[in-house]
Amino acid sequence: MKPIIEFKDFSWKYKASKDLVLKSINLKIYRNEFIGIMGPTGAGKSTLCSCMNGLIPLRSRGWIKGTVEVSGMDTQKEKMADLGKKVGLVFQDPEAQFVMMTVEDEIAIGLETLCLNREEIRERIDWALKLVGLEGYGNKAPDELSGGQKQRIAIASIMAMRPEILILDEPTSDLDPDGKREIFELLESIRNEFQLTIILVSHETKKIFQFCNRVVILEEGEIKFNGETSQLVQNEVLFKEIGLYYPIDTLNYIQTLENSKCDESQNTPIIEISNLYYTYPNQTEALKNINLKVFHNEFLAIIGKNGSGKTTLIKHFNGLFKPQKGIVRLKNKPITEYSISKISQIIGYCYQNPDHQLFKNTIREEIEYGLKNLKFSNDEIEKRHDEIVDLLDLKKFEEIYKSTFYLSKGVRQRLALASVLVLKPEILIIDEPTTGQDYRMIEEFMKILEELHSHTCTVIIVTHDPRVIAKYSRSVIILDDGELIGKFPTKEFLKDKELQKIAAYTPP
Amino acid sequence: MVKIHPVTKLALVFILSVISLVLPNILDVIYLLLFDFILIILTKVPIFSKGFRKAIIAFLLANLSIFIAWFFFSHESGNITIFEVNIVLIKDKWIWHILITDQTIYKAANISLRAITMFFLMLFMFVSISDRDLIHGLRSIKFPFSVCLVISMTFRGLSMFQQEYFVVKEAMMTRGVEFEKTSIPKKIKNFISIFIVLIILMFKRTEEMSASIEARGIPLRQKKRTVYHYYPMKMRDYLIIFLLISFFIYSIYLRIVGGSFLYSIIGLFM
Amino acid sequence: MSEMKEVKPGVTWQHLVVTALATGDAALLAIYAVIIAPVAPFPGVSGLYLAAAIYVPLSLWLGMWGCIAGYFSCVILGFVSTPFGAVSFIWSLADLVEGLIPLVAFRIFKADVDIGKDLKRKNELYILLAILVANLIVAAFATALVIPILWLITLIIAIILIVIMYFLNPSKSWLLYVIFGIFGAALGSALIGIAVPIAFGFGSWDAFWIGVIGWFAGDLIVLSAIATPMMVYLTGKIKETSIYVEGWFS
Repeated sequence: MKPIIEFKDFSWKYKASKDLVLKSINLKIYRNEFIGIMGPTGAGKSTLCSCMNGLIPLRSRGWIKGTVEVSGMDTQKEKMADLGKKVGLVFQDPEAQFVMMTVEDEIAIGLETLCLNREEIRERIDWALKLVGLEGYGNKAPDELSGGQKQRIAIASIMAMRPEILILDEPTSDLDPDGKREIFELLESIRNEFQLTIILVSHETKKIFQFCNRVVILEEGEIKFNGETSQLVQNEVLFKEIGLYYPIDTLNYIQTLENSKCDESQNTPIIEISNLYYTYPNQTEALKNINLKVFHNEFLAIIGKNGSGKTTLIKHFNGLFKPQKGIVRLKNKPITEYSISKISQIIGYCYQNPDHQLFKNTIREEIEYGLKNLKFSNDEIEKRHDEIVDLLDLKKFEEIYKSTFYLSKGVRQRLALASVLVLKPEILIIDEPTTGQDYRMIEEFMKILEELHSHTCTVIIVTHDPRVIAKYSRSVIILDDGELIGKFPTKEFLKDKELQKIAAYTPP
Repeated sequence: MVKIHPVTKLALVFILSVISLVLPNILDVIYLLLFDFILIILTKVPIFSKGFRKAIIAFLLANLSIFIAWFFFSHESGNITIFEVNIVLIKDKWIWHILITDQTIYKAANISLRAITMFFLMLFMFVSISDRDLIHGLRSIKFPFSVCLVISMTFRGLSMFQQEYFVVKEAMMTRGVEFEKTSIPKKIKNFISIFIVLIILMFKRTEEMSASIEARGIPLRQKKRTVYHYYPMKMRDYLIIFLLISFFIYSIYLRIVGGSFLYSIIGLFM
Repeated sequence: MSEMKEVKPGVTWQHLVVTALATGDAALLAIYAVIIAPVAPFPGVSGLYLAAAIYVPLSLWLGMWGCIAGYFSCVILGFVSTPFGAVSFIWSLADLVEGLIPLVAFRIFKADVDIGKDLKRKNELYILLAILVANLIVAAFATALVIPILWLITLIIAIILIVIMYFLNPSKSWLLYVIFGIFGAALGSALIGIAVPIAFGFGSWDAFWIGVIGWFAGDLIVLSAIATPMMVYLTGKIKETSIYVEGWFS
């Protein structure tokens, strides 16, 4: 049987990269397969996907060797327009894929390229929206859609073009558990109905095991495993070797927590919120009557569906948002009485996207930035810099990389954490620390947080990741549609299916 | 209001804006301004709403600068001198000498009225043409698709950039940066930091958005391409454009020979 | 690597998308600049035109696409923050020229746009640049007030400063950047930016030099204080992306 995609001794190096990103790849993919592609961050998964639809080399600068053929077409010789009719590619970030102003227009622009008549385009738009369960959404703007809906529209706009091959590059990393579930259910249904060849890049090992018939594992640009899923399922050793997540029973998580120490010092709240309301300028009521206490040395997870108000709540913790109604107290004093510089010394905040909080050219400058703003002495700056670089293992990156621009996402995330931790905050707030990270990086990152917690730091994480919630948090706060459902010890939460449903939590 | 093509509306605004600059007689400009108000009323522009009031006030303040420019930095001789004073003398030469005459006021008012006329035409355009209509309208008249998509993405870019600015500014605040109580050199330094981050984010967004377009096989240039949202031009659109172009040509003629558009029309009937 | 062949794509959607996003970004910056530091009597003129800090780097990084982004961002500014209306299409040539002058210079002289590469004596160069900017502002006054002797003195000082800079950092890129990317860009855009509104009656020719000095000085400060560190910091990184334009359009 002739493969539908074939890599023949294919290598690729970007202009900016030091080394080959893909090394002598030989891979055949056959019609109607559902392939899972896994690997640690930086393994070359996204690059591999981009080679399959011609993005590499038709729009990227670099060096190439070997060939990639898709449905008999050499990707170096064909036009992207022709390849685009055969291969659809859905990316990780649902926001960046929307280029038009409404859903209907978004689906139509690809169909117009096919020179279909207006009637046919109309039919295909309706069909595609029905396929993804979003009938009637044609006139919606991107801002009106959730992440899961945007991703479904991205799939709809590709499916409307009736490709033979559908490639999805980490389509669910930015989504909450409900959104993830929607996407995987959709993929299963369309694969069965349309006999599509689907190639899925994901860190969701359980889902890969569940849906894919073959798995390809990449590491450092090379194929480490290429075989049936059933062969891989029992191969825990390979997963550990490469640093990928191997699914374990939820029961093990609960058992781990049963054995852990409960939080002490429950008497003095470090943050206290009373009757908090917040409405955005566009009249969206983000928080309704929140009453909450966070105690010293807690390890707390804030969970809930997308749009439940989690980020709005944590921005009240550190004074970025001023309460419109109600009071926020930090260490028994209203937060409005603190200056920005004082708050930044008590509360550290890490953003989901590290690029939003890296301002300087070098690692050293970045770490020292906050300290210089707060006018610490040179000796103290030097001392703290050395401490944090050791703690977060950044020394080797400081020596190798002249600029933060060249760091991988995982290291940038670590640097963002370092730049916040160097101020020695009593409370650390982290927004979605595990998005797009591989298992090994998540484990390393969470170990650092565990260590901080053991040194009396209060850790607050906003997360959808069930592994993080189950394995690390000691208590959870559940938000739903701007309302506080409650604060619960994690071990209780993990046993309560009703609460898990409200929180859109799926056990690991 | 009678539905006219978005491109016709665009032509109306653009051509009338140019005509408002070309017409020699100020009375004609006043009548054009009255026509503006009729358009505003017909399209139900909510000029008394909070947002529009702010825009109008901001514009009038900008317009005030025209008067300042003429009052403080011109030397138009006229029949009546209203105000005159010498301000700065360097080496026996007055380098700043304020002279306000009736001609100064006339010239300032003249250009100011034209600016007001153009402003209300813009208001009409912003309210009556949505960005989506604009793009579909342009495509209907075979404007290149890639240019239309670029216009669409410019609108997206405006809102994305604004959001990211606030996120990055907040991130700096969490690292102890004060934005309010700080000196101007420090403000500039803080601004540069935000700026650099935003430029990097802009390049990253570019890669993502362009990959999304190319992944759908949309070429830069395509000889034949369906226009899904097709707004056909109707007879009234062609008529309006014809009248506009005629008006424009006649305005140029009047500019050259001198005279008034209104009086020449009245003359035709008398 | 020797068996591998280099791939250099031509104009792609990346160039158009970056033009669109840069236009939006620059437009917002321009509007913000005009609000925080207006130069009466000229509407649309800012004493601290922050958007200029992006025009020159964009044109050097993106070629003509950067110039186009600068042009259209100014058109948007013209419609939103000034009374110029349709005149904005002509007025915005000032900002097109601001990017075009350094771009043409770098292309004609075949210079590397990475002014930060192997940059020597950075602190001394910045100090000299600040003195040069102050000197050029004095030269602008000398021109406006027609004081030939002062003008000559400032010209001699400018030449001396540029020569010293070249000795400290013998780089063709740096030299071209200072002459065309700062001075040339600011002067070209100031002359057009003030002449156009006056020609259409938005001011009097008596105010021409006041307007030019305000625009010129503002741009000099922004280009030297903001655009220069951006160029030094970012150019090397942007050159490694596939968006970077080596020629005019690709």
